[in-house]
Amino acid sequence: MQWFSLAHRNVVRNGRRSMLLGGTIAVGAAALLLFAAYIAASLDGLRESTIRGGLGHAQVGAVPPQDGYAEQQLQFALDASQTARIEAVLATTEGVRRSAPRLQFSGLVSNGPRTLNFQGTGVDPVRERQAFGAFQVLAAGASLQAGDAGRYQVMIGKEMARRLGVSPGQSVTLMTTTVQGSINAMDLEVAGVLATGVPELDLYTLQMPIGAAQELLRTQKISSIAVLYQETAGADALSAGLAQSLGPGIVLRRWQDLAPLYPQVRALFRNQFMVFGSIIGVIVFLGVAAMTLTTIYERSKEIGTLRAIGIPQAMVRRLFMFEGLLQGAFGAFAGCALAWLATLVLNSAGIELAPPPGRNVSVPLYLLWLPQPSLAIIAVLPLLAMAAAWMTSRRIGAMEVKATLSSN
Amino acid sequence: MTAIVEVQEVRKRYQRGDEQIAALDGISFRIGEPAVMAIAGPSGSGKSTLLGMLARFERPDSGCIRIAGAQLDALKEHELDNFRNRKLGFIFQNFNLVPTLTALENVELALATCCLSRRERRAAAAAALEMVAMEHRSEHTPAQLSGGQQQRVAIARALVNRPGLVIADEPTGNLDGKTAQQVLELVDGLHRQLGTTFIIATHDQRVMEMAGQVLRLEDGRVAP
Repeated sequence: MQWFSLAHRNVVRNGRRSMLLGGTIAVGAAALLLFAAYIAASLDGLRESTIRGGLGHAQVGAVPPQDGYAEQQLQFALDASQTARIEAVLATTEGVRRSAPRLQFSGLVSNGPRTLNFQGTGVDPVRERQAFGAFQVLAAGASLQAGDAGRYQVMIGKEMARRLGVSPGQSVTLMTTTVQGSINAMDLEVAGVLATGVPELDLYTLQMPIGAAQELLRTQKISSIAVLYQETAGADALSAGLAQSLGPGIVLRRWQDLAPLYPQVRALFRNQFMVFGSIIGVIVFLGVAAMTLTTIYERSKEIGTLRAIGIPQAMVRRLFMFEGLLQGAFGAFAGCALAWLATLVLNSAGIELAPPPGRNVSVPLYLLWLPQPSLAIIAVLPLLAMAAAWMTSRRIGAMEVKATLSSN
Repeated sequence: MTAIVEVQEVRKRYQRGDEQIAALDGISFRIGEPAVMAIAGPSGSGKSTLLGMLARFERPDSGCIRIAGAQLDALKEHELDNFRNRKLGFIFQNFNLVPTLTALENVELALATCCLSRRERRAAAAAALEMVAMEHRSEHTPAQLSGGQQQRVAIARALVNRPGLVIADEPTGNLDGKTAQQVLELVDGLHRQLGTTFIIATHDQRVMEMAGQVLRLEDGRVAP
């Protein structure tokens, strides 16, 4: 006997109920998949904006100091020979797209009446723009100019500009401690105003040409070289290979190590997905169990007939299991199709979401469709539905043939 | 010689509120040779209960039933399934065909536990339908068949495993006179052709006339 065929016909025969249950499973599956697509897009966006917003896929520097003071960091910074060696390795390594030297320092920025703290970065304007310019948002003014024309220019964060009351074309004074421990100051012209999207960063961020920064700090060293790869996939392998090639005294830090927030956000999303997935799983299980139980009572005469002609209880239960499997499969496939369509519609709708906590820029709603969650749904939900039907159909064993035949 | 059916002092009581109803009260009978036996009696006399005991759909409170030498009380669950499938056929008053299956598939259903290939099962089911002159309706579902045709399919299903005993509960109860007569002729022919024993619970006088033996029940007892 084709039990699977019989199960299929029973599912079709009870079309309205099957549609209702299949629809419930489908909506649950679609909700889960859309959630997964949203998480995937969020993680993807967070990762790429973190990397391409300035962090790079990796940063190469000297062996890190034990504490975080800038002046001490600079004692352990890269000298010219180390920098040249690193640049040579990067230039010959396949998969490396761009690199940008950086000099990190901190100090005070003043327009006269007001003074603020800053976290400054000396950059090569051309290489920095080539590597990370696409993710740099200018609120006003222009980027740093290359060469002598831009040697004493500075870009400051939007919030810093607001608090200092300066705009492009005006000047500010930077004060910092040199690597020798003395105080030095420098007047710079504000070329542009940066908007990172994070108000706190906009208050402290400051960029200036690396030559001027070295002059201010009275050093020839740089803090690190940010490296951008051709693509993020395979970045870990490329980083591992690079780390080997760089030799002693040089350390390569992967972007994940430099952005500890990312794995935390990822873990948070994963936990949310597991909780939401479990809830959907329970809904599917209970839905199928309830339907199977109802069906068992409604079809008790049919069950009695099967038992009366000598069909073992296990075979009858197998029939209900197949019916559960089909319901689950229908719901899972329908849910995948529904989620895929919804992804297309939502992505093309251009919906803007409110800025996330800590940011002041709205985020476009984007869902990243990945095949893995759909495959998992298609693999798991039918089995879950089958398990629910199997559990519930134990009831058949407690039914006397006589009682089932005389029902209805 | 082993009797086909041997029933000894079978009793069954049901509780209805505070009252105990004796559905069967010491029934005994024996069928030694292949026969057609009618079990007659008014409604509530215990006919259906007795058939249920013979097919082991329910247990007697006391007494013993042996069919083809097998004591039903001693059979385990899987042995009972095997017994119902191979040694016994059952025909219901309401035919009890599975509505989603065709006539052929309904008959094939009874062969589900056999060690036959799908092709062999199909062939056996087709042969059983041919035996009841229903081969031309084999691909029709019960809803597409008349009552008499459904009962013929039910008979084919009961006979497809070639059991020694077929139990029928009012098989003509839902049929018109002409169709009922055709079904009875079919049963009689199969009994003669295959040597199958039929036990038929009935109110129908024609069944009693056809049957070689008639067991009359009254208030759960064999009437004199």
